[in-house]
Amino acid sequence: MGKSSKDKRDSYYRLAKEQGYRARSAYKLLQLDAQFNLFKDVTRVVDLCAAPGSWSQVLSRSLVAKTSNERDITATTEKKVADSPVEISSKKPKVKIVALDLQPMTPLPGVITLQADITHPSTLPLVLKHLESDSANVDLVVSDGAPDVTGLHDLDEYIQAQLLLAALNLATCVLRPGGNFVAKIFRGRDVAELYCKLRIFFERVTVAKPRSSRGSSIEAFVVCENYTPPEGFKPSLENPIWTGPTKKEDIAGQITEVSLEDAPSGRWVAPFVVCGDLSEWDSDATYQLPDTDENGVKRVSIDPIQPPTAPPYKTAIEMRRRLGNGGKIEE
Amino acid sequence: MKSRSYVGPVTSLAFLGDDLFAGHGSDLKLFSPSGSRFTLKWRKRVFKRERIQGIQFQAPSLDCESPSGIKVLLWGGKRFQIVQLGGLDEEIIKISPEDEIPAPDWIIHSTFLESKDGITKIALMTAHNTILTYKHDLTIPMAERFKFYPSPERCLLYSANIVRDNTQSNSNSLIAFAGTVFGEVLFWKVDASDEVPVQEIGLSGRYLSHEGSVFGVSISPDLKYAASCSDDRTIRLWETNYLSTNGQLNDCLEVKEPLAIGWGHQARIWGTRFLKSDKDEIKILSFSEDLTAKTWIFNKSSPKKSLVCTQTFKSLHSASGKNIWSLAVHPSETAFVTGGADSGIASWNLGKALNVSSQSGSVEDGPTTTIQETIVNLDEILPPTSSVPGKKPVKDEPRKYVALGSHAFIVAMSSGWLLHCALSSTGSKKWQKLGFWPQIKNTSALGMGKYEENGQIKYTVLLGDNTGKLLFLEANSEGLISTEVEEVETTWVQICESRPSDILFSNSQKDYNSLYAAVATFKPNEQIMLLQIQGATARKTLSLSPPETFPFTKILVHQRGHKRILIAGSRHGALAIYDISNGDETQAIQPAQVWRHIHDDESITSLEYKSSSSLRNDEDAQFKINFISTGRSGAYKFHTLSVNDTTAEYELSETNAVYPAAVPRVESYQILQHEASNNSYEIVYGFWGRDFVLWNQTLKIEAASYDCEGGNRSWDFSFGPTDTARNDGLFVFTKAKKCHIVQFSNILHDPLLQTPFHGRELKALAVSPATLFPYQIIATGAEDTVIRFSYVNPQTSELNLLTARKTHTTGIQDLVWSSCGGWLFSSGSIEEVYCWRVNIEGPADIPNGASIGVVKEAAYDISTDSLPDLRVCGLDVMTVDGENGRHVGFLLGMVRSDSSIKLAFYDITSKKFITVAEGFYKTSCLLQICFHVTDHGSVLMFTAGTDGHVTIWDITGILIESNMTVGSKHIRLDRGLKGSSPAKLQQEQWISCQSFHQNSIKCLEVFDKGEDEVVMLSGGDDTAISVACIKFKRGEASGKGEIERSASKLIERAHASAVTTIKVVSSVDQPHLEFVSSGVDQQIKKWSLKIAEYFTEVTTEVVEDVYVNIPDVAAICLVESTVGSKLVVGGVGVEVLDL
Repeated sequence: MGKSSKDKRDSYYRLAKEQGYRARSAYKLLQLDAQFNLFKDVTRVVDLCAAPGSWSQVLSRSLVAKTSNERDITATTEKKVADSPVEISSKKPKVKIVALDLQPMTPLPGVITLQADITHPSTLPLVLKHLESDSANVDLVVSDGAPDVTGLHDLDEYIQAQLLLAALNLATCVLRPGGNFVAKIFRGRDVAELYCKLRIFFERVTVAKPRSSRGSSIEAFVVCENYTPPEGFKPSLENPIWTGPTKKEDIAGQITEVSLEDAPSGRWVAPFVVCGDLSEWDSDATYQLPDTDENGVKRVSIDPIQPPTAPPYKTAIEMRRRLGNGGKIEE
Repeated sequence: MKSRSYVGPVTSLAFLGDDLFAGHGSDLKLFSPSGSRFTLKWRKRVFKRERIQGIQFQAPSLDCESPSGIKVLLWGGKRFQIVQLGGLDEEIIKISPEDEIPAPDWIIHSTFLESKDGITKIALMTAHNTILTYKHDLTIPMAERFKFYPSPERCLLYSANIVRDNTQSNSNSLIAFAGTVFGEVLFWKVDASDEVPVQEIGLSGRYLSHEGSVFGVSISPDLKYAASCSDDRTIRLWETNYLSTNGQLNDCLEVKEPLAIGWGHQARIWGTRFLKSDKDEIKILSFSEDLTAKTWIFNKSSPKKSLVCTQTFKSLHSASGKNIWSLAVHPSETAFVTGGADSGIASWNLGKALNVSSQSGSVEDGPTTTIQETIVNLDEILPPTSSVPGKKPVKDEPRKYVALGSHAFIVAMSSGWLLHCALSSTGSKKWQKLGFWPQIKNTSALGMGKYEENGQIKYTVLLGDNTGKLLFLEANSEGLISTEVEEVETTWVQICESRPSDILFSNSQKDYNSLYAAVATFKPNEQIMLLQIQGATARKTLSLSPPETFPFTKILVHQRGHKRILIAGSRHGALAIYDISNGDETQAIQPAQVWRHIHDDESITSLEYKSSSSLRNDEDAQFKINFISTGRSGAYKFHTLSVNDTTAEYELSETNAVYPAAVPRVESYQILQHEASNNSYEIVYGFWGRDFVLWNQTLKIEAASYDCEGGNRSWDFSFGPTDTARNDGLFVFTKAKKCHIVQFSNILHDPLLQTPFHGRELKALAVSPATLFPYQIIATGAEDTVIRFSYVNPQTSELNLLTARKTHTTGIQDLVWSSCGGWLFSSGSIEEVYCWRVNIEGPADIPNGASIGVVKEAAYDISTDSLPDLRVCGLDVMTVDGENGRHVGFLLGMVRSDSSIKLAFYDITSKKFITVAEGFYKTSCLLQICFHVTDHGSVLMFTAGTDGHVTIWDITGILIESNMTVGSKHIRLDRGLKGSSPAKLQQEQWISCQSFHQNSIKCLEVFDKGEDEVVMLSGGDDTAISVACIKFKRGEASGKGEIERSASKLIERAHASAVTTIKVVSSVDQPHLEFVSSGVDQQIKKWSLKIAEYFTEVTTEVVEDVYVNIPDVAAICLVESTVGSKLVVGGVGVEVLDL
């Protein structure tokens, strides 16, 4: 499918290109913010599993550089200020955005990008160092990470839950009390167990579906508000919770399910909220786009701001092309 | 609601000797060999919720023959079970899901350990690269049974393989290979012996170079090698160096280059297995998302660092599906089995793949189809001669073949020689020269008819010369019968005026022992000579006048009493009927009727008699002939020719049309009985690209294929002539002027242990009304673009397949049956909407061998300025009656992803859709549509979509405008439709538009309570269920329907995730309404709904809540059977439950 027909199929794909976002997922965070006012009074944010960086772009634009003609500004400033984010953030000196991913990420204005594993203990001091802080004082932790989906639903949901719990573990280490945590979640078979776990740490847990997230997808976002860890809880990346036993003593805890007073079975269903107004684009709808824009200029399908990251099978495709032979690589 | 049967991914397979264990959902199944096949012995539930992802065995001693005493370790997710077998009989084996054991984390791999104290001990590798041991001592608390070994590197795994180091006797030293989500392969060792204290362990090896997640790792039996496979479509072979590493901290070997890389899979690779290797070679088997398994060889002495693919096993799993999920190699390594995402289990012969240097031309008595090929050097039989002395000899070549069963054929040579060849099953050939006639040089007219005389199979062979003369021969598989070659000369008979182009025999009824042959010439409008033949003589000659542009390709003669009907097929896809009962030589018979475009404009390649019937007796003037045609259109079709002898009227109808995708050029269709198993199979043969393909349509698998470089050549094919020999086939053809002989044996071999279902997740499920069939037909549509027609077998509660159609090019969105059950409507993306006619073939008692015929009758027009990916998300249909009360068509409602709605009338006579009305709702995607005709005679349309609103439309006016009349609960069309352009659907027709959900309404059911009352049930992505009671009345001023009163109730958090399906399961006369709901949380909830009078109170209560092993539940339907009501739940798989 060409980019022009994808424009019609996916209005957020087209919007993202027009507004200079690296991925359509930017609108999910924008719509979550519109519903939950997530960015209010936020000065320290950590973006986990950030690549290609569309959520960091949203954070940067919302918290750091607010401009009217965003595409032009970001396109030019990205090159200019790539290595000196301090210059931009000096407008609002207090704001710190730290973006983490295992994959390298093109720099963004006002965003500190780190290539690091969110589960690794050494990541915590690294994050704190860049936050210029020695204590947990982050206002918001966001994560839009998703695994390679295999098609085995139980495995895929497990891996996604592990990503979310890894993000939660890091969040418990850096969030200030009262801070918020937003993460992608697959609303699958055992999602009620995950909600239950999150409720232990946050006063309010809501599951939210932005209108820009397709209705046919099992993806949604947990919005966890007001971080209030249980008394005596010691966050640590050496000894993360609910990601399998890390020592002998953990085993008993891992084979009995967590429970809440109002969810003794270890299952609890979070309230559901849709984010985004009905007047906004419907990500499931097919749109008939006019051939010309409001000024009568013929509509041209623009290129994505950043081409998709190289897939792991890129070399395999190159091999096949090089060898020809109808795609057969056998000798 | 008890689960009765399951179809879904096969996630694990393991051989115990010759017996095969399969993990299918939460069930463990045992397949045992019986004869050449495996049969299912039993199925037992192992886990409450988890699928069985791994199976391991432990024998008390290595040479243990009897299965008693063997222990089985089963795991899935965070659960495992240890079962003592005691034997393999169903009664002996005790497995209960209540005995499942919780593990502290997700289990990736597991193995038995040696135990000194008699208590079973196992090791588990978790998804966080952690090893735990478990002692199956039920007397101590659960947590104390586990022993924990600290991980050298806690990272997330997709795969692992842990094995005991068998080089050290009686040791629990473990070797672990793990594949991470980041593309690394980690190697570490643990001594899990009881006496060795737990200590900190370091990685022994880190193998880098994969460019994506590592989905499978395996260790060679000698522990020297490991193989990994990945998202990057490669297999990488590593040397483990397991002896030289000691597991000391900071002593990790880092390997950046594998021993060899295997390229060739076209998608992600899920797993590898080491096969028995020798000194110089390493052999590996792999399986992939691309639906193939491959064998690989690494030659240790070769300088090339590559794994060479030696054989690719094309999938027996649904070609349109995805993923082989499991694989097991038989201990003898002569065969392996694969389990698919499509629920199928298939067996494969490994022999040939392993022994690459062996001759490929030997027949084996194996369980699979075998192919034996020979190229004949005809120079040895017919030494090149020169017609003019001194001139260079002219190269002789085979021109035309007739295969006489599976072990003999006759070939006409370009030189004028006619040869007979008899083949033995060992491949030896006996040639016989039948004669040499210069006047048959380059003949293309050679025909054969088969008949049975005194229990012997005989053939009449006709050969045409260049002047219009025909030679009559009688032959069998040994050669000519009772005719000396010298005498043959005398039997040339002048039949035509010019050179014949083709001699076409009718494949007659079995009980009919006189043959017909039609002789066509090269002159287009010249009469066709029709010979009635007995033995080697023509008893009677008639002539047929061909219709315009009707070159004959096939004929079929049907005799019924004195009546003889000839059906002819043409090169341009047409059929013609001749009444040949009373013709004579003097006057050409004219065609009684011609039907064009039966196979589009493509050649009709075969005509086969199927059955015939009459209302009363054989001499009845009205009767029906059922026959089968095949064509280069790519189809085989079932036809019924209704003959009225009194009025000389003929009516042709198509009752079944199948386009087997694997054979785009269909040459013939046969139903063959497999003598050994007593099963009958539909076999289609023809060509696909370069290959001659024998396709088993019943099993939906390729029985055999042979690369002959395409079908545009001289060839013939025949199955064995008798019932016992149908398993064999003979394919003879000319390639590069040479005669090629290909003998197939065991064509009817069935390699499937378990029948495949849809290859991808099911999206739509619709059950036919119970009015026509003793069993309701369940139509299922899936992402794999296939529509399958099944029924619930009352004995097993399993879905048994009747037929399937792969005509849509996009995933199925919705399916809906007409209320009479004779038509099905289906929709997909890119605006695909099809109308299917569903006919019962044969007796209606389905389990006793009847089948259904399905014909795609029409497609709804695609708009000219079509949008890409314009999905038709929802369908509903209403019957439209004619003057005499019989239905004349249907009103089809379609809602689409661009917010548009189309209403079309489907005319069952003209087989055409006519758009009655169209319009838009808003701009949001519409998902649901339901029609409802009120008692007071209004036609209401409920639509719902992603905006969470349900809109009720009154479309009565639109229908009246187009000439329909609406009465209480019915719509009529007495005369034709009125109006040339469709009416406009607009807001004025809205009765109400109300928000019930926050976003997508995933299911909508409108239940008629009678007296103008409905109960509307909807389920949303917002996890809620909404119940609304609405009473309608006719508006006094407008005449439009109005809501008299309504009440609604929202059940928030009805499920843990999206609610995708709702079905009312109680009948209208029950005091409380009952309905079931389900969704992505895989729970099925049964609800009781009480509505007080005047809707003053609406209460709901969950009365039952059960788990199903079906991810992404998309639809539920209710099926009535002789053994009670069943719920059919569809998603990624199908589960059938008692209601």
